[in-house]
Formats: sequence, C-alpha cells, structure tokens
Amino acid sequence: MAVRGVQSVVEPSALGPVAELYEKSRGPEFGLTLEAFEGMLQEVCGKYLSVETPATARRAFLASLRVEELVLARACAAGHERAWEVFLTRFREKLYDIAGYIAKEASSARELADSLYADLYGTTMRDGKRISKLASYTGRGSLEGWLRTVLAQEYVNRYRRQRRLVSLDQKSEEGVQFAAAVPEPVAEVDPRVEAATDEALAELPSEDRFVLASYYLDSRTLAEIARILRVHESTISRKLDKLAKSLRKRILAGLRRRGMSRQQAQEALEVDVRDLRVNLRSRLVQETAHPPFSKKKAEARAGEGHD
Amino acid sequence: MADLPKIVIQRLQGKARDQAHPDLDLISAFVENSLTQRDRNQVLEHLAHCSDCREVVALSLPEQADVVRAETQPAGSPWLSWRVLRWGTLAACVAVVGAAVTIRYESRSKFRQLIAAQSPEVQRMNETVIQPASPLKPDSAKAANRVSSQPSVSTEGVGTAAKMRLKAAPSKAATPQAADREPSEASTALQRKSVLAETGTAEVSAGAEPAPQAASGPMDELVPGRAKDMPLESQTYKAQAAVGGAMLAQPTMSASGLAVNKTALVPTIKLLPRWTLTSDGTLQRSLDSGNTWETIPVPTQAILRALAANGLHIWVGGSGGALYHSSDAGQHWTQVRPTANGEVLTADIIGVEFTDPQHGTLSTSTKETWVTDDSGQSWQKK
Repeated sequence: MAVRGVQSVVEPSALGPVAELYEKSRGPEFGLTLEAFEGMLQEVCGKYLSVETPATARRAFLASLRVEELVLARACAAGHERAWEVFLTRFREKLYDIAGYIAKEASSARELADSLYADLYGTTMRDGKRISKLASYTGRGSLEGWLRTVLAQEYVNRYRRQRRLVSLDQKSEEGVQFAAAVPEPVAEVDPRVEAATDEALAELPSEDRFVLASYYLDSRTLAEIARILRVHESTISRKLDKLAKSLRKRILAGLRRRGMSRQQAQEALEVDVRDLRVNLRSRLVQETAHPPFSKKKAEARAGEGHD
Repeated sequence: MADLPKIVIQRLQGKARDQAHPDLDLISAFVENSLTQRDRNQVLEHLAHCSDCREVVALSLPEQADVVRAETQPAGSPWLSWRVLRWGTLAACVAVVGAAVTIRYESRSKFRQLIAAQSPEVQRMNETVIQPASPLKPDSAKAANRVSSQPSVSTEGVGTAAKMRLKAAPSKAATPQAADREPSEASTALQRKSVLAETGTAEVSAGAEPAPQAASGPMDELVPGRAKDMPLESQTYKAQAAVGGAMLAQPTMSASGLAVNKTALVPTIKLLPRWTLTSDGTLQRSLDSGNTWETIPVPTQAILRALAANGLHIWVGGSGGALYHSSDAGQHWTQVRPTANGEVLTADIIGVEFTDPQHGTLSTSTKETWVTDDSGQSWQKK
C-alpha cells in the first residue's frame, strides 16, 4: 500500500478552526506559535490527504488528530526542555513497561527501550540538526500507541531476524540432516486451480484475508486475532468457519466455469500441495514407479489415439 | 472448524507485493481503531499480504485490550447471542413465578418486634441496613430469630464497608437522616444490597437504583423457606444480564442469615461504573463492564490526565492543577483547588490516587506530591 499523501499544499483557509486546535494543543507552553502550529497541521494534512479532499472531511481529519501529543512530540524533537520533562514524566515508565511486554526478556527489553530513547532524543545529527524520531509522529494515533508501534517495529527488525539465523553447529548437534531443496511442484498444480483460488481470494474483503493470513500463515490464536480486530473471539471462530466453507464453494464454482466437471473440480481441490511435492520426489527417486493416476489416463488416451 | 483447502493457504502466501509499508502512525492508529473505515481497509489490505507488518501490529497491542467492539449479530448464526437472552428471560420468569408462589407478605411491625428483641448492636445494624416491608411469617420469624442472635465477625466487617458504601451512595439513595429513621423501601433495598454485597464478592454497585416506591411487596420481603435452607455463609452475588431492565441475583445469605428473595432486588442494578481517560483527556464512563462507553463532561478546559475512582467517587486531575471531584459517578462536579501554606497547586496533575473517599494523593509533573486526609478539604504538600 503506497503511503497516501503526495506533498500537496493545503490552503490555510481550508484548515478550519486552527485557533481552536492550537489552544487545545497547549502549543504556547512549548513556545509554539500559531503559525508554526498551522504549518505542522499542513504537513500532516499533506501527508494523508489529497487536494481533492472536501473541507468537511479535512476538518474531521484535523479534529481527529491528537494535537496536544503532536505538539509535545514536535517540541521534544526540537529539544524543548520543558517538553522533555513532560514527556519523561508521562512516558518514561511506560516505555520500559512496553518494551518488557514486547521483548519478554528483561535485558532485551532494557536494550530495546534505551535504544529507542536515543532515537527519540535524537543522538543522530544531520546538517548540524538533531534528528529525532519524534519528529515523524503525526498524531493519527495516541503518542503512547505510536511508541508501542515503534518499539514493536524495532523489535521485529532486530531480534526476530537474529532468531531466524540458524546455527549450523547447533543444528548438527541436534542431529538435523540437511536435505537438498525440493523443486517447486509448480508444474503439478493445475493452473486453473490456482486461478480459481486467486479469484476467490480476491473477492474477499481485506479483513477476511487478514484473518485467514493471521490464522493460517502466522498461526495466531483466535484470541489474538480478535484483540487486533477488537471483536469477540467467537466472531473470529465463526468467520473462519464461514470463510473455509465459502472459499471451497467459490473455488469449485470457479473451476466449473473453467471447464472442469464437478468431480474433477472436487478432486483437483482435494489434492494437497505437499502431496504433490512428495509425488515429485518419489518420481525422481524411483524411475520405475507407477505414474500418477491422471498420467495413466492421459497415456491411455494417447494410446487409443495412436491406435 | 471446516478445513481450508491447502491450495488456499499456498495462494494466500502469494508473492511478496512491492508495496510501501504504512507508516507507524497509521499502524498505531489502526491498532487503536481510530482510523476512518477507508484508511482501515487500506491498512488491512496491506496487512493481508505483509507478515512483518502483521507481526508489528500484534506486538503493538496493549497488554490488555479490553475494548471490544459491540458485536453485531453475526450473519451465520444469530442464535448464539439470543440464546443468552433467551435463558436470561427464562430464568427471570422462573424467579418471578417462584417468588409469587413462595413469598408471603409480612407485617413491618412484626419484623420490628423481632429486631427489638435482638442485641442493641445487631439491632442498630439491621435498622440501618435491612428493613423489610412486611412482617415475617411465623416460621420465617423463627429463622430470623435464630440467625439474628448470631452476630458474626463478618457483620461487623460489613458494617465498616457498609458505612463507606452508604457514604458513597448516590443522591438517589437514603440520606443520613433517613438511615436513622425508618427508611423508605426504595432506599432500604439499596442499602441492603450494598451491605449484602460486601459480604461476598460485590458486583452490585453502590450506585444501584432504588426500587420504585410502588413495588412495596416484593422489594423487602424475606423468604422464610430460604432462610432455613441456605447455609449461614456468605455467597457471591451473581448479577446476571438484565432482561428488559430486570436483574437477577442468586440469593445471598448475609452474616445475619437473612436471605433476600430474588425479586427483592431492584429491577435494575447497575454495576460499578468503570472510568477511563482518552488520550485527548476526555473522561469516559462505562456502566456495562466496558462494553460501551459514554463521554462524561467535566466543566473544565484543562486536559485531564489522571483519575481515581472509589465507588461513586471520582477524582480527575489534569493540566494546570485542574482537580475535580464527583460523588455521584460524574453527574455533578466540584472543582477542588489544593492549597498548602498559601501555595496553590498549579502544576499539571499526572497522578491521582484515593484509597478511600478521604485519603488521597496527587502527583504532579513537577514531582510534587499533595496529600489529603479529609476528602480534599485540606492538603499537605510533600
């Protein structure tokens, strides 16, 4: 998904009740002028809205921003001491708590939180200016939620990739045998099945595909998915059940539209992709093995034709 | 759960799409459910294909995401939620029928005679707490006599808690004067519920609405049979979902051994309100265990940052030393200006803690601590 928001300029008059938002943001406490605040809002609008966005939508968008936290974050990014006092009072403990919750391990959590603090404070200099991560906060969500997401992303980038590296020594000690890579069984999968499946998946709402991916690819529990979507666990359970049934029906219908008979479609759908890999391996290992049933029929038809 | 065809799982993985990831603001706003539907769908569209972003979303969830969107009736199986309501309705009908069959209206004077025969201490407790509308039947009177002659530790323990609860009772409840004289049936039921609730795991709020005056009979009746049958031990009230405003609760035996009929409870019992402050400083209240929330206006322009709730007492503090107190769950507010030795609190209040209605502590952004021992009448700065 491309990040919406070409750098478009929004007319100041279109920003609506900026003064009201300015007062709400407590900008004067951190030395932020109304003009600077307006410029900040323009920047945020330019990032997420297009020039064609109607004024009412633009006003609603501005009203939804967390302006007070936005100003606080930007003041911190600018190095305002008072802003940092407020920020540390509010978020210092929470940051370590969040890191602890994400990393699950005390030392990793502390390292994660300390690293983020450095990024938030802006230890990196560019062109003589301090670069703070807080400058990228735009107020769409709460500042605490944003910090949580930043920590989560940092964690994913750092530690999960480290864990994916397999220690060869460790594996050989455990007796794991490294096998040759199995060739992709692309040739064995009927392209009509793939096309019908892709078509059925494309028809699903994005939320349904997210649920399927979370459950079947990420192995998330129903409770975890329900928390993300803010629904009850039973809703996810029923949705998955319903999706499994409806996808099967749609794929079968798609296969029928592509010229398969009902039985062929059902057989094609029941073929396990992993079974296809096994069949291919067995064919490679045993050249005298009997060909699959479908191949037999093809050969039989070919024989009849020759005769 | 029906099996998903394996080919679907394979195609679900698909090829990695060359898409820009949504920025962290969008992801955090998605997690907080504060995006427009269109933006939300766009984020979901990306998440459906990006395992890394799904991982970030999962890790970004707060530890306790207890806000659940009100579940709309699922298209596939509407019977599930209705089943709960059906059973609730059935249970309510059974309770009403059972009460109609077993309840006997007793004269109020006979019961007062029984109370008068009790020890002064128990009598004082019962007068302020339990006042049935009708006299007991002879057999129930015996049960009451037997039980009431056994003042227990839990009764005393209840007393203290009951006092706090009574103090925290809403304006609708009996006034202190009313507690000394014969209280109205409505306030009686309220107070009784509060006290009885204290004996066990209280789920009945002190903010329970008093019964309507007209419902004199069932409100305060005792169940003679139940008083004999039920053991003299505290049980937990189980307030079940309201059906048409009717609440059910299994009868509880208080330390005094008086069982309360199911229908003796007010038609509507509210749970203790839950409170929260949104990120922009708006105070919100839930009266249904967090299922739905309503904004409670506080007469201040200050941004609220901290709150403390104790029964119906709610304290909120915010920027510029703003401190407000309500003793009726947010219906009316009083501004409190903490002052100590001539100095007025003007710093941002970032922490409010009240262990009981009298004792409270404020923390400010300037690392000050202000303490009160008299519900905010006077303060000490530490």
